[in-house]
Amino acid sequence: MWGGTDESERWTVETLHEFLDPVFASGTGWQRNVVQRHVYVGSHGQIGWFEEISERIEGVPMRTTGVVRHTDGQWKIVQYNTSFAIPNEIVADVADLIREAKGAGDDDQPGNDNDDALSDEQHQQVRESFDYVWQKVRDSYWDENLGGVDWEAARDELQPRLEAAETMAEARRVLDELVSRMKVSHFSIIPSEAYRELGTADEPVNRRGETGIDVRIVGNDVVVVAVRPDTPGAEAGIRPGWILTRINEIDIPARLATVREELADNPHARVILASAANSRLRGPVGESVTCSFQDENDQTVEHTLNLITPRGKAVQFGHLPEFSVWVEQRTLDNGIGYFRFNAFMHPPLVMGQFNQFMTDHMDAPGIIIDVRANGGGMGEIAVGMIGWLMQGERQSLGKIVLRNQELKMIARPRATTYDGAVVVLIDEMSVSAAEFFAQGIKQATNARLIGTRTAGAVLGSQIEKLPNGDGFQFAAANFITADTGETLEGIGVPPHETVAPDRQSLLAGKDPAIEAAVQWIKNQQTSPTDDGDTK
Amino acid sequence: MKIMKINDVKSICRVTALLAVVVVATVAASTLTAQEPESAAPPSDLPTGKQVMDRYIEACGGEEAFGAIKNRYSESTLEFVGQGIKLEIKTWATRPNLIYILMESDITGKVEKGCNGEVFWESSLMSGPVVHEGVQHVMGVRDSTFERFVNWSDIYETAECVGMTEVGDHNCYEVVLTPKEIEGMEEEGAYHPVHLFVDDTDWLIRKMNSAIEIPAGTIDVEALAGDYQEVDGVLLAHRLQMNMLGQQRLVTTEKTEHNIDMPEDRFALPEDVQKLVDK
Repeated sequence: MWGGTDESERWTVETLHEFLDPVFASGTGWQRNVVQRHVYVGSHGQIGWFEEISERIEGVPMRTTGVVRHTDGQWKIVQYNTSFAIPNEIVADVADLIREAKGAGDDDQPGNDNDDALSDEQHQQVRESFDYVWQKVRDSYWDENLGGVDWEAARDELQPRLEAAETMAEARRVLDELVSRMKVSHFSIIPSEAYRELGTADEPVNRRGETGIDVRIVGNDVVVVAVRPDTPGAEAGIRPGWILTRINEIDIPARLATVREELADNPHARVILASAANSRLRGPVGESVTCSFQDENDQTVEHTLNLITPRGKAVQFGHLPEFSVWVEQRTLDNGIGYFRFNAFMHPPLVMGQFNQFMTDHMDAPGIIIDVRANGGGMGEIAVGMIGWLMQGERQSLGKIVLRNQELKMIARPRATTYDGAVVVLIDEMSVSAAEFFAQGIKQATNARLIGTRTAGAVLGSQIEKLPNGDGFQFAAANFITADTGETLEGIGVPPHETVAPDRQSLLAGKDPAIEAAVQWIKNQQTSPTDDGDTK
Repeated sequence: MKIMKINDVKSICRVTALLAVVVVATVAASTLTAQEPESAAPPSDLPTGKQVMDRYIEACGGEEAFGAIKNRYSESTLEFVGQGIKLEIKTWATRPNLIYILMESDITGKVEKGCNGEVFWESSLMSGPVVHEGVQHVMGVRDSTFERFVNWSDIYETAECVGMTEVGDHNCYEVVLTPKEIEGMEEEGAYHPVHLFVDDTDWLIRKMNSAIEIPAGTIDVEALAGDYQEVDGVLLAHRLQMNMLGQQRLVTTEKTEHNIDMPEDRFALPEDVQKLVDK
């Protein structure tokens, strides 16, 4: 990756070739005279880095830094960044020039300049936002006792901090702090910038890019559990089972240990850890992350991975920032149907494909529905799926509890239902509607849950816009199961059979949960009563 | 350290369970029919329920104008206020109680609801075909009545004016419509009364309070009617703000056509719904 001095210059090898090949072919080019260069090589002799000062024709010194990798007997540049040094005494002037060049239009939008001083108007907007959030929780949170939180005290404590906030970032931290006092999931402040990344016909979508790598916490390590084909991760040769040791400047084992200690009492620790690790591997499309891994031979390898447009369909739902929804389905060698998807959203895609999948697999010996790392969504989709898999009469899966209302979640069987063996794969990143699905199917069918306990983030929520332009996700409802009469929030859904990923299996190219699912389905065909619970 | 905060769950919880109970409701002006039931006796200083309903019908165009309307096609928007969610709805309706509602969006997929006069059904990608039974059947068939507040005496036993109350800036008579019992249909919850609030100056319905029964339970709905516009000689509310489940839903009607050519099978049961009926 070549980072130029213009903000838009993020050249990959491919785009650089596209630009430069015709230039070089014409016999022209340019020359840069290096006046100073320092090169360093890492202790393993595989990675090096350099810094240099060169002189341009305009006479302005250019500073360059980069990373090189030793490959096939050659040193190759994997990252190259150019910049101009700006004397401190003119930084403010240059900043003005940059703002001017970028245009003033963005300044009209509240909350755009997180680090700029709040205008009077913006300050008023964050005051109104704070009041709205505080009142909304007081008046509409499903539990009128607000879970025992002293809400008045929270306001009294945080209001002065809001008044003292000098930037939008500081004000947002106060809003974040306010909703975090509820200590449950499904509360968040979504920065207004997230909405400005939404695509339009004239402005391409800028969803969070991905590397194609999926990681989980395995023991004391962050381990690669999947690498999707045709992604930067796959092209770099990264394999499941490798241990992720560094993302950019972050030392992963050290960070993991610290966070674990600090999250000791947090009921959502598992999902926070897992999602934090994965989120570090994402960012703006076109940028890159540099990661270090411990490979199958316990050798340290480093790769700089481009962030590519995430797979799936770009979906917009209300005030949720745009996200991707994808579905993956196949028939395994033994005729078992396998269906995986990342969110209970966009019924035309998810339910459309699931309905077809069920129709195609009505005679299959078994079905595996994989909701690992499923981010949840609409409970109605979960209910609709269960309708394909349940027998007998319609039944309540539990109830949604609002402040002054309770609603039953009723599943009713489809006209034709599947009566073969069903396995649902879950893990600590199965969240919200995915957990509701797991719990519902466990109760309404003979399906088996395999994997690890789900996240325990099961509340109904809605998202509104605040006066300062931020989004406000608000937990409006609790979910109570029909069979136990208990909430899943902070608890999650335990599997019938615990199967967690382990490094050796991953290195051997296996997915232990899928293997366990296939084995259980086979057992059902020969000995249906053998459930081999490992609770 | 940033990742210590509970709110970091937000990155995955933003895709979140929503309470997507979608209720499609319409408010329509109407006219009286020939057979009129006796209204309950009101307090001495109030008009009878029937008198209020008569004034309402007259204010909206009168019996003759409504009688000339044989069917209706409308296009509306259902907005979940404050949540950035809008759904487009198309409705076909005709006498006596035939209705077909179509909603298509990325949020819901294709959702259909209908009543062919005898069967109240719905179908969606999520639920598949469903034939409603019990309370939902009774309410669905009854509330599909074309111009149900004009033809109120067809389906309501009594109209009782019980008092006056303010709805916003409007001083309104409160009229309680009590549904007729249907033989063989004694399901609890099928006969919730409807409270209409009729303006004592212009005689338009300003508010309607009722309870609706869905499989999930009973939901109290307050519906505020407004933006009355004349279409083919009758006044129709083009704006309906519904307050329910602690949220606001806004139905805005953009297009209304009367007496259009409707295909004969417009209200026929879809094949998969018919299969369920035949089962």
